[in-house]
Order: sequence, then C-alpha cells, then structure tokens
Amino acid sequence: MRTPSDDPLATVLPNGLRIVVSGMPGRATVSAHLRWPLGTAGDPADAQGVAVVLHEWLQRGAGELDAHAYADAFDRFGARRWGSVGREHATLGVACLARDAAHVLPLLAAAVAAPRLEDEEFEGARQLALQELAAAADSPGERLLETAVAARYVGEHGRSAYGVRAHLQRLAAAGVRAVAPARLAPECAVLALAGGADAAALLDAAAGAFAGWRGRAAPVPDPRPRPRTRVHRGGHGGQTHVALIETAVPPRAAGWTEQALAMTALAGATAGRLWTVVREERGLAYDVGSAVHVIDGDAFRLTHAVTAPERASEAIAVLLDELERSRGGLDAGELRRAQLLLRSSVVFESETSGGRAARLASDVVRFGHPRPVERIEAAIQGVTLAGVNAFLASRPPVAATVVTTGPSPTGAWAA
Amino acid sequence: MSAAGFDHLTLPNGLRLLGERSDARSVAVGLAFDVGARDEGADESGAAHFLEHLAFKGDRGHRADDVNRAFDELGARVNATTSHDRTLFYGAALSQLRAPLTAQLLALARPALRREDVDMERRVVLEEIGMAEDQPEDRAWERGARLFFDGHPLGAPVLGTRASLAALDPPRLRRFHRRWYRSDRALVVVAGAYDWNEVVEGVRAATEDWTPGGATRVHPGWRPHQGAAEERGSGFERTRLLWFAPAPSAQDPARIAAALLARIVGDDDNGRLFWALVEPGLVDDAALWFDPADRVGSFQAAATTDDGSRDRVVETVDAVLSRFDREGPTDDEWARAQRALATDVTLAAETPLGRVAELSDAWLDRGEAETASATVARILATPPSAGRELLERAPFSASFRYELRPADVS
Repeated sequence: MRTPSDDPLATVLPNGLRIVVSGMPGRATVSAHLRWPLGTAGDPADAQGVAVVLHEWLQRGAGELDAHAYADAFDRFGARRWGSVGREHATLGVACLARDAAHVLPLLAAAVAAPRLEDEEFEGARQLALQELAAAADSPGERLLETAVAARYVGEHGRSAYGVRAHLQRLAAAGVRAVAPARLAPECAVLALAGGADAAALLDAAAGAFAGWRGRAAPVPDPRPRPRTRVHRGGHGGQTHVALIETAVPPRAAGWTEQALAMTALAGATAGRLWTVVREERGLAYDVGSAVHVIDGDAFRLTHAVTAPERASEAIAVLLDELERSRGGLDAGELRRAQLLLRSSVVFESETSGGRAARLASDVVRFGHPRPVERIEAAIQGVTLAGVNAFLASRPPVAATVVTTGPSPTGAWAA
Repeated sequence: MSAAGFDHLTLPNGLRLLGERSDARSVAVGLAFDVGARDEGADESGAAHFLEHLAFKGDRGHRADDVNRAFDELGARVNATTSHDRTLFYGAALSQLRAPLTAQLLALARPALRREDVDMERRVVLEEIGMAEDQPEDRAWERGARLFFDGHPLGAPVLGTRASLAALDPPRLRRFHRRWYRSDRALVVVAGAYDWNEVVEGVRAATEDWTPGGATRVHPGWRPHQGAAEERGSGFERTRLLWFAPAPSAQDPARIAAALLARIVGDDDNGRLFWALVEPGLVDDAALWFDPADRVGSFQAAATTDDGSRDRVVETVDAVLSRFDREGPTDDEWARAQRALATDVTLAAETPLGRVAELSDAWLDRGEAETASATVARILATPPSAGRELLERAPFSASFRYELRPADVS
C-alpha cells in the first residue's frame, strides 16, 4: 500500500517490513539502511551478547553464497557495506552506484531472510564478539558510555551493548541458531533507501528483494529509567570522563523541535554555551558536548566532558550550572542562530544518499513516518522565541545522574 | 597546472584559488596553508596545531566569542585540521551565504595571539594531549611513526609534547606564523554553487595586504626503519600492533596502484587481513591503508588483540604480507578493488564539503585537480600490472613493526 506519490514514497510489505524511499535526482549512488529490533536488551538474561554474535554470524554467508562468496558478491558491484548492533536495534547498510541497486538489494535482503548460519563460521563470530567486548573495555570513551547507560536504566536496557564475557564464552551455535527466527523478523523493521534512481522503481526492487523475509519478532520490554544516582567506575588512565544524564523529551511528544533548538544553542553551535563556558572561558576540557539519545522511545540528555581529575569537580559544577541556566531561556539571537544551524545541518545531511537514508529510517522509528526535508525545515523555522522559552521554562529543575569513569575526581565530586 | 572543468587563479601575491562548481544547496570553502608539523623546528614542536586552535581566538579587533558567533550567524559547520603536511580551515553553509563564509574563514589567518588567549588555549591543548595519552592507539601511533620515520620530520608528533607546548609563547608562535602563514603558502578552495567573479573579488579584497614569505619546505633524505620494536605501557590491557612500509608519495603516479594494493590487503570488510585475522576472531579490527604525503608515502596497518593472541597475529600478518609480495593480487581482486575504490570516491564527492580536503591536497601536492568522475575513470583504467610493478619496488614485507603491549604481562 503506497502513500500518495509525494517524496518520500512509503509502503508496508505483508510481512510487516516498512520501506521508505527518497529519490535524489542526479545522484550517482543509492544507499540502503536496514534497521530492526535486534539488540542486547532483547537477549535472554543468561545469554547477553547473543544479538552481537548473531549480527556478525548472519553476515558470513547467505542464500547460495558462503562467507567469501557473499563478500565478493558485494565487491563485484563495488558496493560498500556497514553494520552495527547495540542495545536496542541492529543495522545493515550498503551503498552502491545507482545503476547497481537492483542487483545489490537482494544480497542485503539475503543476510536477514536467508542467512546460512553455518557451524564453521560460528566460532569466528563468537571470538570476534569477545574481542570487541575487550576492545570496548580498553577504550575510555566507550567505558563512559557503557557506564552512563547502565546508570540510566534498570534491567534490560542498562545492559552492555557488547554482552557479558561469561555468557559469550558459553554460547553455542545451536542455541544462537534456535533464537534466530525471533530475532531476525521483518515485523518492526524499517528499510530506508535514498539516491539517484527512480523512487518507484527502487521501491519495487526493494519490495521484491525483501518479500520472502519471514518471522515474528519477540517482544522487547520497555526501558525502565532509574532514579537519579551517582556512579563512579574506576579505571586506568590520566583523565576523568564525566557524564551528566537527565530525562529528555521523546520524539513524539510536544516540544521535540523546541528541545532540538535549545540543544543546538547549548552544544551544537560554535558559540554554544557549553563550549564557551568550558573551553573558551576556562580551558577545562578539550572534549565537551551534549546530545539527546533515544532508546526504544525513551529519551535522555547526556552531557559529557573529559578533564584532569583535579579539575573534574569544577567541570561538573560548571556543566550543572549551565544546564540549569538553560531553563531561563534563549535570547532572540541564539534562537535565530540555532534555527539556521539546525536547518543547515538538515540540508547537509540530506545531500548524501547515506545521510538521507539513515535519517529516513530514524524518522520512521521515532515518528512513525518519514519527514520530507522541507517539512523538517519548516518545523524548525516555525518555532518562536516565546515558544522555545515556554518549553524551557516548563522543564523540571536539573536533577542529573552524575557518572564519572577513570581516576576519581578530587574535591566535591570525589567518589 | 591541470584543472579541466575547474575555475582557478593565482593572485599577484601568490595566493591560489580553486573552484569546483555544482548545483548543491550547500557550499563549502577551505582555506589551506601548506604548512604542518613537518615544518616545525626543534623548539617549535606543536606550533602548527596550536596555531590552528588560536586562529579561532580572534584577530586584533575580535575575541573568540565574536569569531564563533559570526560562524553561527551563517549556520555554518566549521572546523580545522592540522597534519604533518598542512593546515586546513574549512566550513560549509547554505550556498547563499558563501561570501560571508569565505570572509570569516580568511579572517582566521590573522590571529592576534594575545597572551591570555595563548595561555588559556594551551590548557585546552594540554587536555587534548592528555586524551591522546589515555588512548593506547594514539600512543602507539606516535611512538611507531617516530621510530619508522627515524629522524624524518614526518615522525614528529602533530600535537607536540607537554614540554614543547610550555615553551610556545606568543613571540615564538608569531615567528612561526610570520614565516608560514603567507599568501604564497595559501590556497582557497570553493565547492558548490558560487559566482567565480564574486569569489575572486571577495578573496582579493580580503587578502590585499597578505604578502608572500618565500618559505620552502625542507625534504631531508630518509632511510625507512625496518625490523621490529616493542614497548610496554600501562593503563590498558590489549596489545596494539602497527606495521609501516614505504610507499609512493602524493606526487607519484603509482599512487592509485598503491591505493588499490592497500585495499586488496587491508579492506576492513573483504581484504586479505580481514579474512586472516578478523574473520577467525583473532582481532577486533584489522586494516591496512595507503598514506601519501608530500614527497614521502607509507603503507600503514593496524591490529589490536589480546596479548595471548599476539604471537599468532604477528605470524599471520607476516605470512599474509610475504605471500602477497610473492604472488601479487589476482585479477579478480584487482577488479573488485577498482570497483570499491570508485564507489568510495563517488560517495565522498556527494557533498561540497567532501571535496574540499581532496582538492586542497591535489592542488598543493601536485598543482592539479580532477573531477570525481575523472578520478573514477583513472582508477578503472589502472591495470593489475601497475600493482605488480609497485610491489617489486615497494614490497609490503620490507616493513617495520611496532607493538605497544600492556606492562603487566610476560
């Protein structure tokens, strides 16, 4: 069933897969972005990391093609692949020249619709998951994010995106294969395509390629945010990593666009408030930022900085002050600049086939439908100063969970 | 100068301009100076990168907040990078804002270098060095490159060191700036929808007081380090392995063949190292790539593993590289690498911003520019024999291996 023939096109296949397509006349490439609910939050409690292993395993041969032949088949079209898996969902993506899209889409579909999941490929996939888990533990930035998300959620969504070492060590091919049908299901999946091909033809090609994908998705529990807390996770290294976490407005709630503009004024602009007070005025950190994250419909703001342990307490205090100050509202200049910055970033993102496809997939999951670029721009431009400031005034006082990793801060926020 | 399909001009003061027109909604502008960490003297380590930071602190009439707000008023995405070879300030904005974007970028070339700004920004750069020290990859790259380049300035750390930063006071920074940030080391690149006359007049008016300095880069002789070196460090648990080998330079016509060879061995999705190391789960990531610098090039490879698998990883990589030297690429591998590289070039050229760094490097390294489609044609026309010839003069197995291992293992 197709929506009216405006841009983008959208359809839902009988198997439940939602497909959205945006034509980009004149572009030489097409990008495809497949996203479905395979994440560690949906793993069995005693097998955390199944999602990671399965995501790797399904890329090691599909349909008639073994692992080598499958990789070579993409290469023959010069197609570039990528993929990711986290707590909430997994992605597989591909970019190729527009003329090859109809040949490449069936290859992408085969990974989820007909993965071979052969015994001889399992151990490599499992070992790779263990290597990735160890690599994440050795990365200060990844340690902060893992600790922050664990501090945000009770239960499944607070799990590691990499799994648990002991669970990964005892996974067996038969067990993972047994759960695969429920974890590789078109229900709740989204395929977004963008690029320089006829949109209707691209939609038909995608519908044909993914029509044979079968399976019913197992339900994933809703995220359960944890009350405000203070967490410190020690570790080696010379710098303290800081994260402040607060509940934010989710995509479908009133205030989402106002929040995006306020975030741009806070952290998205070159003269953003955080940058100015942390870097320009105090030289407290090289790396400082703030962004809204959305996991299974729950939104939280994560504000971070990396600094020396003896300056970490000052950095936390400055960040908390600035977050609180933002409730007082923006001035007209800040809103004007934030609107132009946000509109420009939407345009930049929409100029690449990959950026546009990723945006379409995200929109369908977050808002339930794709949003044309012009409509996003109009929504941004339609926010008034009174509107954004009323939104900010309605936000509760800042009560952030404070997370630190690495050496403990000295002073007020010492662990 | 070879630049079919491009606008280009050199002003009387030596400043170069290059434009590539498209009908994109955004426009991108780059201001490149042909100076980087390799041009620093012994008492100037980190100066080029520090000056990149200080450019955003404002000229004599403006403060950092003025500079940042001016870019925000344009809705511009702005950033800068410093490498061994050059310093690039770049930004993108909606195309109707191209003239003020260009003017704001040009203003970055005249920082006031006020002492209070230098002192404050030094703290930020020291935090950046602290972050790099906490990243085992960064530590390994710095140490490995220093040993491989063995006295050549490409082995110098771009960020400098804590000690060298402390010595970079305003007079020393001004001296470095006066020497290198001159019109004859500068290039302005514009990509997207523009009016060439407007670009030329805007740049001419903003740079009429810029003068050439006549500074030239020194290209010392260099003998690539070979063999292996191992060091131990604390604060991490996994072993970082790096390989370096000599390769064609940015000026060498064999650079496309080098890029194709690197992809066949080191593509992170379907390269030989992927199948030998990642597919069996020996490492979490392995890649090999080609890094063409001004007059000197290198192949570089990296893998990270648990220390218990270190011996197997080393033996496997040695075997892969030796075999590749002996047998060379198959015709099928070559054809697949050509297609993949062509797609990468096409994807990178989708936005004006994606073109700025590529065009800056091509113009400053070789005095030439070519469209993405011309580059694709050149890639597809490069025969496998070019790869085999290159392997004979620059074999992968003549490499230097550096490894940084955790201190608390035997």
